[in-house]
Amino acid sequence: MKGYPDLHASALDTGQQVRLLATIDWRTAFSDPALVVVVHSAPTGAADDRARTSRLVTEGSSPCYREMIITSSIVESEVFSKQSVRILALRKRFDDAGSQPANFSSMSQAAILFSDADKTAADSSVRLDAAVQVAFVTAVGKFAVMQSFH
Amino acid sequence: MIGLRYALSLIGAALAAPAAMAQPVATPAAPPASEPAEVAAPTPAPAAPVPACELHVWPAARVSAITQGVGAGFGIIGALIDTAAHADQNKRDTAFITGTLDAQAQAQVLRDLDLPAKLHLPPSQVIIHDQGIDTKRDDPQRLSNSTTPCYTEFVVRSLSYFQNIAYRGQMRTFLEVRRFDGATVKLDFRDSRHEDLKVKLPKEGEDTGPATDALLTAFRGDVAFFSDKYARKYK
Repeated sequence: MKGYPDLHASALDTGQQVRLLATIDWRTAFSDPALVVVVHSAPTGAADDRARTSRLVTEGSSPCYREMIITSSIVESEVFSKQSVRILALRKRFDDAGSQPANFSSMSQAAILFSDADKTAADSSVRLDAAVQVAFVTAVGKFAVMQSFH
Repeated sequence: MIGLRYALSLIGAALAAPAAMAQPVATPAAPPASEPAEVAAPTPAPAAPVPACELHVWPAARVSAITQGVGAGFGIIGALIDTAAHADQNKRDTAFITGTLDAQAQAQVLRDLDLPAKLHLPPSQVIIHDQGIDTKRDDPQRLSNSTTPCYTEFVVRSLSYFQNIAYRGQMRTFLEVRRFDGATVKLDFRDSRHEDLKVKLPKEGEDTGPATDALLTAFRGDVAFFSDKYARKYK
């Protein structure tokens, strides 16, 4: 936006998010070696995912099925507070075929670790993009842990 | 053994930032619907005529969230200390509002409200833009490239959350309607309206559902109140 610092949002465009989500070791994060994870490359297209009671993927999906939807990813900054990445996410858990989903929506954030050396480096913009992406992955990981308690 | 299956779906990235601003929400296109099977097409019903008038709508370009403590009442030094003490909370609340009331969510509420009817406009084609826009009081020009003679603009100027020791939490929406006579603005009405939130904005890890509902309800209420006020004033 004109007049405001570049917060490197392009580092988290949809394509980048898909790439980053594919790098997460979900089986370890969820302590489930049998976990099957499908990362979709496009938004759900639903007007209200929280209110939706049907599965996004119906054909061939397991009876034990969950959806994790990143509803927003935000690169944030504030006077007196460090830059960070925050995600708003929704988890929908379908325990068996025909069951109503159990929703959990929350947010998690992770600091963007960007040192003074990074700031003065010739490729500081690239480094900042990388730091934003690391923070995004960390925030998603934190949400994955949070949702396991609900 | 049953393997868990997770579908990770992504909805666009928003940017929040130095308090009092939210950068535009980039909304990727929805996935294309699958091609319908080829069937014998029935005779199409005559399409309804497109209204000659246009109502252009813009979502909020700015979002802010400010929480003040008692320190805010002790001069500049107190205010600075108080701002620093609430910096993380203000950042978090701004991000939450930006994400919850993104351009898509605002558009959904505005569509549901049937703005042309609420504003007592002639039947109008509603065009909702997906990026916020800053307006200036003395700018008589249209904000879009449309040249249709019957033309009105509805701008959500900003969303602002405020909380202190006296107020639990208020969501204020700043709105503007501009009606045009040809290329020149003939009426510019600005106002704001706030709703008290019944729930606190969530912290990290807390369920965001109740606050999401509260923000959407407050936004809907603010727009409806503003539209009714406009309609009463300029009927």
